[in-house]
Amino acid sequence: MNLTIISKTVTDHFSDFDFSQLEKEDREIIPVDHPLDPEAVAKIYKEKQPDRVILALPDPLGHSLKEHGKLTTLIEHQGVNPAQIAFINLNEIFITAENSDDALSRLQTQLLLAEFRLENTPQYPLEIYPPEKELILLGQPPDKGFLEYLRENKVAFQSVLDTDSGDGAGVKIIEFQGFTGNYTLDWKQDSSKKQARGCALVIFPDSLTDEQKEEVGTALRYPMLNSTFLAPDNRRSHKNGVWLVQTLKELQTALLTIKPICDGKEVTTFIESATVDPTRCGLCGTCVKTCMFNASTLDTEQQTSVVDPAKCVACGNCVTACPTQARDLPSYSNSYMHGLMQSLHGFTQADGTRLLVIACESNGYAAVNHLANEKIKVSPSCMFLQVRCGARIESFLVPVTLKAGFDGIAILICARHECRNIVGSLDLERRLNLYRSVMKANRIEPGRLRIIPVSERKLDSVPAVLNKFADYLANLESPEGSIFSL
Amino acid sequence: MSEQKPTVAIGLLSGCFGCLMSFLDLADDLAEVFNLIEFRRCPFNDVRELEHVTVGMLEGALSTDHDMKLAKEMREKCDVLVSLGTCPSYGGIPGMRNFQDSKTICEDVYGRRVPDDEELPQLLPAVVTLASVVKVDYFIRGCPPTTEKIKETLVAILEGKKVPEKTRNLCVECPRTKESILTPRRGFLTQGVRSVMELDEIDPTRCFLEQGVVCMGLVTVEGCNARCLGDNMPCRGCMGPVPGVPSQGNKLIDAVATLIPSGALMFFEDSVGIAFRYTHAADESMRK
Repeated sequence: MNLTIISKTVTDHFSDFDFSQLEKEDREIIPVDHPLDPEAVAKIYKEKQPDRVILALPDPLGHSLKEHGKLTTLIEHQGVNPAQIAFINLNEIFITAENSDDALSRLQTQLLLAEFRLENTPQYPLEIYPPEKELILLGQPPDKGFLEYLRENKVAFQSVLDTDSGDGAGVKIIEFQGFTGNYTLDWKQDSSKKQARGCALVIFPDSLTDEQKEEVGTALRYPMLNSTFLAPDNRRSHKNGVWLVQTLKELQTALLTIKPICDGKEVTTFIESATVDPTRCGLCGTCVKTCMFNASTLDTEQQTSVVDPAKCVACGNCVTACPTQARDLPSYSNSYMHGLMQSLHGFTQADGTRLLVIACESNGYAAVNHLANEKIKVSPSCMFLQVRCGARIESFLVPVTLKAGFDGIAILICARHECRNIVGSLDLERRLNLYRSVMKANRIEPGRLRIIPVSERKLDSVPAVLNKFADYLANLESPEGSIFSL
Repeated sequence: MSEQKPTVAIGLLSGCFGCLMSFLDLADDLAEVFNLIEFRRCPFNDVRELEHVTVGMLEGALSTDHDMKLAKEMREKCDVLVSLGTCPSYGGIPGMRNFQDSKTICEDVYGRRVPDDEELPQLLPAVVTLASVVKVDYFIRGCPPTTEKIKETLVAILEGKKVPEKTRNLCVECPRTKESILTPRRGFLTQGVRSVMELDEIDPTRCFLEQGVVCMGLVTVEGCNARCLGDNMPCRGCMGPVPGVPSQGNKLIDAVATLIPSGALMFFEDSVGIAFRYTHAADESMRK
């Protein structure tokens, strides 16, 4: 049985919204107050024992960093696998729906999509292990107050590149890897190799030279920008463990997440990594070359490629690149990505220009969420779809979207240098620029596909671009004899 | 009185006869085959009537209304229907006409005087796969399929067994070595993209992708023993994609974009023709 928990905020926007209209066989709807009380949700969960839960809330994944992670963690602590939880961001409806009926129709589409996704997400492997107790500090804290704060809060730590204690020179950071609460940092001091183990890595970027920043960024395979917004993004990735701290407040925010982990007896976590079907792997090596995190290797004895879960960040690039579909990603599986268009049928059959806006979970979706927070509306032509990263967007998705009845596709991804997965935006652009020649050969206007890089600091630029694109599509005529008329 | 042998009919759609040439390459083994089966209507004899047979094989693409009629007739009159070669299985080379509508193609070919005698076959709006029109029991992939593959399938049919499905790409059969693909490093494998003719020297031992040449082997199912690779030519993808992959061409783009410079690929002669050469008609992204 699928349980949908939906925030009553909908009626703030559409006063005559009727929640019961969403119900059908096998789908129960429970409206809840806003802001959501996670304990209340846990209670509902215990009582109903549903097979799957859909949470329809404004900004459920905490892109505005409120209630970050708390909600899902609470549900996961009930023993629920993340594969059984789906989210609908009501903000998407608030920024596009024109009236109650429209809102209802969009929500019904979103529910179908969420249900389809739940059916096509395999269970995540569950790992239980004791956490490391120490924090690894990289660089010099801005003042003594930082270390004092850590001591006051009984957080043990180990320092690397701390110029006060004179070990700044001759340090070269090699690698950072691991899982929530259990990380290792490898570095070289002059010529001897060293290693630190910790529950998280806190970096003080202001104390690093530009050269050091670049080196650390390269070794961590992590874009080094001055913002903690980067830190807890993509909860399911191991990059949970890296925090950039410039102010005491940012350290406090980091500890809100870190402390419960390192103080706990054990970490219970669902680890998402790319999976491999060995029967389909031909040892071609594409995944090895594609992975920027060195998480992929070939095991010639076992005749298959192998994923190292300590390094894999579940970006999906190898899944998109794998020429035989041997690779898959639980949260954005092949069966989900290839089949999801049928769920959007209700939207594409409606009148008017239909524009699919695919947004990456980082900057792309932050821009979408930002619109609602600023009470900005966009063209009602828009329907939003989240992906992990630009890297997970297969070129196959483009024609399938147009075939489903959309007039165009906009892809919101991180600006190149801000991509958390290093080459996600870059590889997407490479793939789709190649695909444009296929569109031309099939007499499909390449202008129907637009890639929109989004900078973390310029989220405001997005609505104007989307509206302009929707106008362009509205005025575009379909040529006679287009491939889809065959 | 001889025992009833299984009967075989071969129908020709819009094909080139290449699959049948590969069949005839059984040469000395042909006698063995003729002992096991009896050919009814086929190009090797002058039997005109298509009667009910045990096994029906169709070669060539479904491109005209005559093809459609024959395909349906064969399905009715055969116990077991075989899609012989890449053409009926994926559309094959004739499938590339799907990039253009049939009216424009005829005008291109015939100018102003497009023949319209009613006895002539009419082009369908698009080439379609055999399986999209009738139920197919066996697929023999390849352009042409290897002689061994044809024999293996015939034997399996006669024994009432399935042919084990291949599920990996051609790299697993390819004798060439890989080095730079397996070395994690940012940057492409080569500076540019070349056609195989443009190489000063074709290294016979090294992976073509590492020499900057697009090889479809990545996105092509194994089963042909990589004959072309052994003969110092890159794979062209004639066996089609690994089963379950909805678009061979799209997969090539997704895989190769991270390996060799896509900017160069865009200006490369005909990246679309290379990626979709054999499977355009079967491509799930293009069919309604």
